[in-house]
Amino acid sequence: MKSDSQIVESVKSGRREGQDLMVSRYGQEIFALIARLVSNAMDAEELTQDTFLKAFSNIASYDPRQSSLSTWLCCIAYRLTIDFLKRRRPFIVSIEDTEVWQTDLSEEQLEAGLSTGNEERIQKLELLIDDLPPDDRMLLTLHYFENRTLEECSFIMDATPHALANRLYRIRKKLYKKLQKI
Amino acid sequence: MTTPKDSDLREALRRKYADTPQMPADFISRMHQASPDTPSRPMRRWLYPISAVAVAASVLLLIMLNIGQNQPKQNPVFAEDVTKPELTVQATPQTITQTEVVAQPVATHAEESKPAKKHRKVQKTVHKEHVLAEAEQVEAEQAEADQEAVYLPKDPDPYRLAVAQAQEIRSRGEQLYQEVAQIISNSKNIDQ
Repeated sequence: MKSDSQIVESVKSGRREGQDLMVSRYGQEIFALIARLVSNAMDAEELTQDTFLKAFSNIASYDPRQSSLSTWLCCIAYRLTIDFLKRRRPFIVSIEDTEVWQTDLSEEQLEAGLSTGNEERIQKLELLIDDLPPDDRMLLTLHYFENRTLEECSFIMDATPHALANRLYRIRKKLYKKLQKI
Repeated sequence: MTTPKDSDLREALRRKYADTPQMPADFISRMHQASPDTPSRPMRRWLYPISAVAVAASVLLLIMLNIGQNQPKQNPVFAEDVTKPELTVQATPQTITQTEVVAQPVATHAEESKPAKKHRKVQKTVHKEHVLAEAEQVEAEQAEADQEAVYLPKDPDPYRLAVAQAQEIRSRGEQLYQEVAQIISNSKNIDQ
């Protein structure tokens, strides 16, 4: 089985075999990442195609010292998806959200509020996640669902780990407050 | 930074994304159809720097050729006749002939930079005009003197006459300066 470096070299040399191998290895992962944010499967497929085509044309810019091939592809997919979603549906911040952010909560309170095991709260969280902006949903998906570290997420989302940690705190606080209100 | 538990949130995400759609089986073929212009072989990037160097070298060559064409064919400074004349004219300190001036080329530049070249009448004329322009006053006085050219064998010291000429010009210049200073002082005394 070829390694990522061998695949990259194959793609750099323009061999279609390398491109097919890259798609077959990471296609599903990228498609799933995009499909979780985009409601339409056709849009997800088109964005996945765009992701790999962009990866093939910019393969020279890939640096294995900075990230893995999977993370690099996710970075391309994230940017294309966010741009697509912003064009399709601009997100409007409600006044309620700003009020939530003004309330301060400790880490212990947050963790306790989001780890109850209550079925009703879990189902409510499923609905609340859909109302989050695309960036916030992407962060939750990458960090909680795909178990990526904040360093990997920072590369994908082009932000510092500290900024993402702060954002994650705000997202959790927002979800906690909305759960309390419901 | 430790990852918080948030088990409710994780469970909500797991349930939400449990039915993630699968990528179509013919995705790869459809992608190739969507991008038929994908080259089978990449552009040879190593050709870019070689092409740049070739273009730069061509431009440089053109510039050098252009400069070479624009340069004057004759350079009076360097096209001096380095061949020592067989006959020299003896010159007294007060008399300096045009022939002597021409016959004493600037051997320094010629000997240092160029090997012996065939004397050309055009080069001689250009050098003669250049020297005559500087020694105009001396030539006017020379015409009054009675000169008798004496031909001597080849002068072993070609610089002797040039040094004598320089000294003569310097002394005459100093004499003129003193005369002018005297005239100025006399005029000041008259004014006072």
